Amino acid sequence: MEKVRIKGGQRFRIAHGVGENDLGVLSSETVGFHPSGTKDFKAKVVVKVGDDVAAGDLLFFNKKNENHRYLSSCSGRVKAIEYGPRRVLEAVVIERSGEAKTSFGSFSPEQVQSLGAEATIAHLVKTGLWSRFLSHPFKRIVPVPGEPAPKDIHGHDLPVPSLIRFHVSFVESEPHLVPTGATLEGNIENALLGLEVLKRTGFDVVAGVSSNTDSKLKSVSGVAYKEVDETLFPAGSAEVQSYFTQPLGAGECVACVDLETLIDIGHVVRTGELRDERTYAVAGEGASKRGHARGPVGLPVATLQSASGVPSGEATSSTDTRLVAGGLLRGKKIDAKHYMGLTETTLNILPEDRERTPFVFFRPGGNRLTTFKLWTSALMKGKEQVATTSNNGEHRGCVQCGQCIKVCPVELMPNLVFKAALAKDIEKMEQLGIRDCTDCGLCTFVCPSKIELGEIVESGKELIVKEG
Amino acid sequence: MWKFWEKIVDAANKEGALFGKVPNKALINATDTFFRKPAIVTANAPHMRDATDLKRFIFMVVVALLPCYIFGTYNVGRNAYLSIGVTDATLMQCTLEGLLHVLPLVVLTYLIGGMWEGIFAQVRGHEISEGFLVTGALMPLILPPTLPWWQLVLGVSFGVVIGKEVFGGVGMNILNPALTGRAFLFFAYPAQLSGDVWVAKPFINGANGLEPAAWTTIAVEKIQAFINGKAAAVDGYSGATALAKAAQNVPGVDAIQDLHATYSVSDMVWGFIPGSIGETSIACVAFGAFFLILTGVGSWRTMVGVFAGGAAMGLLLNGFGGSSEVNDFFRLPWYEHLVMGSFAFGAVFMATDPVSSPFHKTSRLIYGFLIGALCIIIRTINPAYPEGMMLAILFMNVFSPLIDHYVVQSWIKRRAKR
Ligand code: SF4
Ligand code: SF4
Repeated sequence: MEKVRIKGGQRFRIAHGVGENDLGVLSSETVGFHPSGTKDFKAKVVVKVGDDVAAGDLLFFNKKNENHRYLSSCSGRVKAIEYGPRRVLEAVVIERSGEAKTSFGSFSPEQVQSLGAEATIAHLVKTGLWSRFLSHPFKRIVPVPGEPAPKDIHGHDLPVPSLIRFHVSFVESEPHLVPTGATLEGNIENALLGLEVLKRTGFDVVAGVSSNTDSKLKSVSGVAYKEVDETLFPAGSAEVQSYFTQPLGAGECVACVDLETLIDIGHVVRTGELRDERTYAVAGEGASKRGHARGPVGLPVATLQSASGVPSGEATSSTDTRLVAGGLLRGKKIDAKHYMGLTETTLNILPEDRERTPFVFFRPGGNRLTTFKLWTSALMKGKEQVATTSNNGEHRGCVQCGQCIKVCPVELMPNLVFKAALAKDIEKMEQLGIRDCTDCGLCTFVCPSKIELGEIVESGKELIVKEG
Repeated sequence: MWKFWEKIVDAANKEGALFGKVPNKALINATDTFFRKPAIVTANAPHMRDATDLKRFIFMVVVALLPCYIFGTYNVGRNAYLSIGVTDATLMQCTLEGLLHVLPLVVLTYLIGGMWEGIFAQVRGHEISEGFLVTGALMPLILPPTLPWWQLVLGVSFGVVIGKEVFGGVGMNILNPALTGRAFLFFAYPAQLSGDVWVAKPFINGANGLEPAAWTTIAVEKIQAFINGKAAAVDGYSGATALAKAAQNVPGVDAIQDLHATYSVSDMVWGFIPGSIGETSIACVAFGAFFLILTGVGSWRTMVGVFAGGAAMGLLLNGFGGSSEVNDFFRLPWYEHLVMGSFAFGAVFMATDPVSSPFHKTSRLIYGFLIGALCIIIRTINPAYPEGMMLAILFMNVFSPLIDHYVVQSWIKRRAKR
């Protein structure tokens, strides 16, 4: 098995993580489905309030591409369809009832082995699971092989990136995320079947593993393995593993498959039905109980919140608590009234840190979270540090300290990439390897001038997508 | 206490509370965030940020400079006493005496530098950057203790305004602001900066307590005496810097022998010689280097590059030393170059300024090497500028973007090939 050596990255030891706690099984009368901010997704909802839906029924699809489908994973009645600003779909809310199910046909492991590539892909599209494959670079839903090119505003064909391979990571290196062990518990057979199905698509499959990964998952024939160090962020990210597998050429992309999606694939192929289960987790300084729990897909944020011991009303009304769906570096802010996404399974509850500590730059800083050796905390290797939402300073010009170069896992020079992105210089951005950026957020995290590098680089990528 | 402070801040933040119609938010905010961490929280992912900001960075440089300050202060006092023939002054006396010379320069530098930063922040409406904290700490150390105060004011103003603010403030400047200020003084007032005699006259005369002497006048007299070729010494004490000794061009006098007769290498390493306030002690500079490298604030690549460049060029020039065509300076042993004048100080504290140096690892080595080599060339080939370090660093400051450009270009080419 090939070991991947990453020069950049960062080893975090942050307090208030998910930990080992099992918070049991959570349930909720209502669940919500939404495309979790997927790019280039304009939802066309096909159900109406009051409709009865069965598990496996189509709820909405992408107006721009009908292959992007979101199905209900439970049966019940549509309670509400919520839109946010600019009519972005926030949730199709379903009140759960009954056991009505659509079957997509079940396959035995032998039958899976004889599936053709086209049939496999068609099955993944039909069950809505293909919509969860995100491309790297650019984080779009991976184009289904052979589908027509999308048009730009002038009606010209936009270039379609060609899919090269699938990436699955069995490693989670981001602080404060549900541990992969908890997700895989009882699901290993499904995950293995998921890998088989991915192989049947005819594309290469690469899996990232660590020394702690279950040995069954490490020995699937026909899967290329990359062993990474799980204590190093972001070694667990499929994008990083892809960089160390084979650099992408222009116009190529890989599909990153999330662990829950992989298990979903195995489940739907084996049973013919959509899986209605997720492994959730709560973490963060603001949660009084931390740990992981099982629950249905589309769980309300409030349910997770109360499982963490925080009365849901309290945090909702308080502006001094931040709810984040996902990890500390890559997660998204989420509202307490919303629902967890299909692949966002961790809720972080973080108190907003507006503390105005006097003479902070004077202090030894034994508990400061840092990548620099400027605080005494750098000497205390084993000690957990507390992550807060404080910006820890004000925005300044880039002082060329070079720290962002040091931490970038894919060996870019973020200080140059962000300047090229600011200048909207596409050629320069491409030369500097902007496509390899994995959105890990480390450069933004370390910058002593508090420059929003990630955001600026992201805007550069969006520019490239738009201009083709 | 902070409640009271908050009240002041709130009151001052009211439109035009301080200077009539001019909104003074930037100024107040800068003062406020200097004392207390700002209340800003991250807008988006990543939700947490590194504890380090520029203030911490710069604070570390100031810490690294402390030994230079402490020793420099003592040394100024010590040499002031020596110049009047007092050889038995105590540590305490020397330090006190030194403080009388150094402290006003430091206070004045910060006042003037801070004033300019404040004015620019106010006019442009941006934040006050902490950059001047380090510029202000460096500036007095690279100046002679005999510098008249009005010249200091001019130098600091030039450094901050022309060296930094006209480029657009912190991060935008091409030149090192402290060196820019010094270069200005060097060319505008060569008499005080040429490095011939840099020993202050003591304020406190002997053991008799405070008896201020007109030290500036005496210094000027000494300079004139030196220029006229006369021994300026009181009791055989010349007060000339080591560099001035090595660069002297007096017929019949072997400059290197003369240098060695006055200062031993160990004097130069420990720093008991006249010179700019902070540069004389290589031992203190070494502490700073160690601290900067340990904390990662200063690039070891730049430092190694400078010393390697200086050593290489020194060796090369030593090779020509035998010829009678060249001046005595060529024969100065290469390792002595590295401990003389501001070579070490410049390598550790000036060349490593990240803003005016290249950012890439490889570029930093090249940049350092060229600074070291250039400094030795300027010193030896043109003894009119015995302090080559300042010019070498400023010169390479200008070229640092170019070095980065070529290094990055080759990185891009290699990357395209993989
Ligand atoms: S550029 Fe920044 S966000 Fe992108 S991979 Fe490098 S460190 Fe991560
Ligand atoms: S970390 Fe920030 S200040 Fe340092 S080089 Fe990168 S962008 Fe510039």
